[in-house]
Amino acid sequence: MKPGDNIEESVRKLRHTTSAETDERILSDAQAALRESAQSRRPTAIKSTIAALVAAAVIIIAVFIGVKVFTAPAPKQPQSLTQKQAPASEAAVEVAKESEQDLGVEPGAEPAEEKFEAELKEIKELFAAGDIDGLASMLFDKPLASWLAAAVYLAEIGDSQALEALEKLGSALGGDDPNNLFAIAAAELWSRIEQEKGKPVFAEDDKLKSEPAGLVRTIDEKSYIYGWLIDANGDPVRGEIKLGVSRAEADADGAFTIREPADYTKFGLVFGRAFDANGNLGRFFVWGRDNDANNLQIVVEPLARVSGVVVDSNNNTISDFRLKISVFETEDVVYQGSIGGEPWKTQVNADGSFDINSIPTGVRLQLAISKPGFKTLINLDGLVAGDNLDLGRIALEPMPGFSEETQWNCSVFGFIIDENNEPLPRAGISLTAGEEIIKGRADANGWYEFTGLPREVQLSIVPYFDGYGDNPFHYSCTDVNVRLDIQIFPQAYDWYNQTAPALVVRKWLNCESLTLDSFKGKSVLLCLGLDYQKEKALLRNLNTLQRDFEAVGDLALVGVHKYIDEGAADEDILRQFIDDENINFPLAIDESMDATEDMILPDSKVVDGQKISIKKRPLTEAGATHSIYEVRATPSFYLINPDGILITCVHRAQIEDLVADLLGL
Amino acid sequence: MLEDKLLIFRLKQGDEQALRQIYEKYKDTLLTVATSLLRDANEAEDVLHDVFVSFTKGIREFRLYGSLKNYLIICLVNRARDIHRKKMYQVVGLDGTGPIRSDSDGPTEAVIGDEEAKLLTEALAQLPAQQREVIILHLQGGMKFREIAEMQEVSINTVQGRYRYGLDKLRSILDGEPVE
Repeated sequence: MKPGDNIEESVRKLRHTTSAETDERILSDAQAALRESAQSRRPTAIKSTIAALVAAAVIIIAVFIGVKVFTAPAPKQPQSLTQKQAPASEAAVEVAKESEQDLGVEPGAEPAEEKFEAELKEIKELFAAGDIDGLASMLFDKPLASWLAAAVYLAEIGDSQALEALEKLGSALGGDDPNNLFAIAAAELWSRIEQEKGKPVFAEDDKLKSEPAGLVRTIDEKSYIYGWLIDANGDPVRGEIKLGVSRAEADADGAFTIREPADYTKFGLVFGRAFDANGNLGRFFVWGRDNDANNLQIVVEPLARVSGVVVDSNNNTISDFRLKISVFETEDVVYQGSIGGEPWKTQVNADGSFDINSIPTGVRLQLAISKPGFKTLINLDGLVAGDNLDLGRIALEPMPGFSEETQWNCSVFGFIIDENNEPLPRAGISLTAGEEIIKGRADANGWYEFTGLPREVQLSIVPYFDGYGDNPFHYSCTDVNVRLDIQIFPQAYDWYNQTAPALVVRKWLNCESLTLDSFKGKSVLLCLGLDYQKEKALLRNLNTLQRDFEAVGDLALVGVHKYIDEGAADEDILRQFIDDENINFPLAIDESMDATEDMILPDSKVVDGQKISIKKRPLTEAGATHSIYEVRATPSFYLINPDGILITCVHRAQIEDLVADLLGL
Repeated sequence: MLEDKLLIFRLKQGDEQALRQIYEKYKDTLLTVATSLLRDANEAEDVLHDVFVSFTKGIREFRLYGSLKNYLIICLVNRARDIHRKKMYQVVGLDGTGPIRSDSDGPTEAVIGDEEAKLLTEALAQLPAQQREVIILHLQGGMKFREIAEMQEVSINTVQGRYRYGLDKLRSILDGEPVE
């Protein structure tokens, strides 16, 4: 690729980084400035540095554990295995010193801890910059202790990039020696990956990955799937495999290693596809969470072709339709959408005929033909590899409420307003007419407009605003121009300025049973709509927030995770996550929504002239507390004052201002 | 970001660890922006130094409105402009310490090699200062056009124009077409 091809991406990726000397110079000057400024007024003592220390300790422990594992085969230092009880920072210093001595390096004039940290930092930066050659040259004239630090660090990251880096460094620095540190570390990493396979997998979190190793530090946990790509004769095939967002290449032996997808559907399945290198053979496949990750055999077969002619209800051919192939498993959709572009080639001609080439088979497929207000689904169950299927004439069927006579000439417009009839600037609003979904946003004055809508057809409209959640309602246009002001209310609005409703939860996960009364005298930030599968980063960040709340003193954070069935595997995974991440703010699993069915007020929709007022009080599967607190967006935050009175529902983005206020910033 | 507010809160208490965290968090972005604007690695590091030291010095009176990153970038740009103005008519060479490329995207993405990064840096250096500023701030600094417009005290349209013209020009420099 030339830089001119995608210039924005290239500029974005251009990176410069500081040298360690510069860092030292700037930091020491800035520290001096800080001390100077601190002398003018003594700071009040605050213990929030604990957060930083904990984060540092996590890294140090990680390093320590890594060292322990790696040095275990060497009979020299069994004592390091028994140091588990030692305070982390001491242990790390000891390890640093120890490794220097064991590896025959003179203890330098620099204190071991600082030296160790400085080099580790440089190693991390080079790796983060993807500069493995730079890492090799930096390490070239460094003592073995640095090699050890690098090897341990890379092995702890534990992803394929780190593995590649380890192997590359092994051959660059270790030469022919198969027992050089990096080769050992790579082997160790492989074996760890093997061990990890049976364990639950947590999603890779890109946002956190880019976070500096200051407040939050995560260690990737991933598994890999090993398999072979073969043809119908059992011969190996070179090619490409995609599974969810993961991608891998099969080599000349047909062998591939692909990262286990992070996001399974609720059925524990992920859709994948494979093609040979020439694009002649292919296959759809479904990967299940419980499948054998050591032996995924994918048989690629000749591709299929589907053709037909589309007509309207008067049997006239039309050409303004859309085609979409979806993949099914059992009765439910596993996958809808494309992975890196559709693999097949679609052609639609003016005479209404269409032709879809290069369709892989292997799973149940469904063809959807649609245009606004019309949709026909055709089951392609009979499609087998190499097939050439002609579907003949296909009539496009109107969706409920639509017909060939439906006029698409209506406009709806108005203000989106809050509980006090004030406009909500830039409120979100989406509209669904049949299969057509229009996503819009009100302007700075809270004004929205939709045009080209179907007349006398039920529309689904969903206004949204931070702290107000989604407020769906149905509406049907009876006029060409319709003024419709939409009033929405904050979540749990009926409870504002009253004693906050009690938390109805199934169990507390990391503390004794609590009630809101336990927090009398403190402000409580209640977080609902937590879902560890979707919001790992949030849970980690809340954990950080909690530590700072503790430092502030009169602020408590309480979380309620959405409902999980008693005895479901998800609960164990969540518990493991809480342990691993040391989640220490009180966290509960919500009670089933059945528990509160009677307490939920019905939705209300009041039409008054051109104004419609929507109060949604959803009985949600997320659970009892979620239903009572009218959680219409996830996550949702509620502020409860020291007297136990519900003050307001705050959106995630507003928390910082809120907390800043409480901190007096 | 809340994290930044808390870091500043700690920094106000004299917490050196917070200082280190802020520095670690933003130094690469700031240095990249500075290097691209000034085309001289040493000067860029000096600017980074000055920005950080004066930020720390004034921390007692500091109040954060909006994003800390943007605040620091704006300080940096102002300082870079001062330097740039002083040596408007000097010819500046590229410093020896070349750019390195970050954010490896896995096997499917093409990687920008050192050579290409160098070409790109040189091409950026040929752009008029204001166009370069917009491109760098938007793409590397992650600033929105609206924020850049406020900073440059021009309209958003002007900023977008500068961005588009700048990119076009950059593209033609890199493709080796003559630039008028």
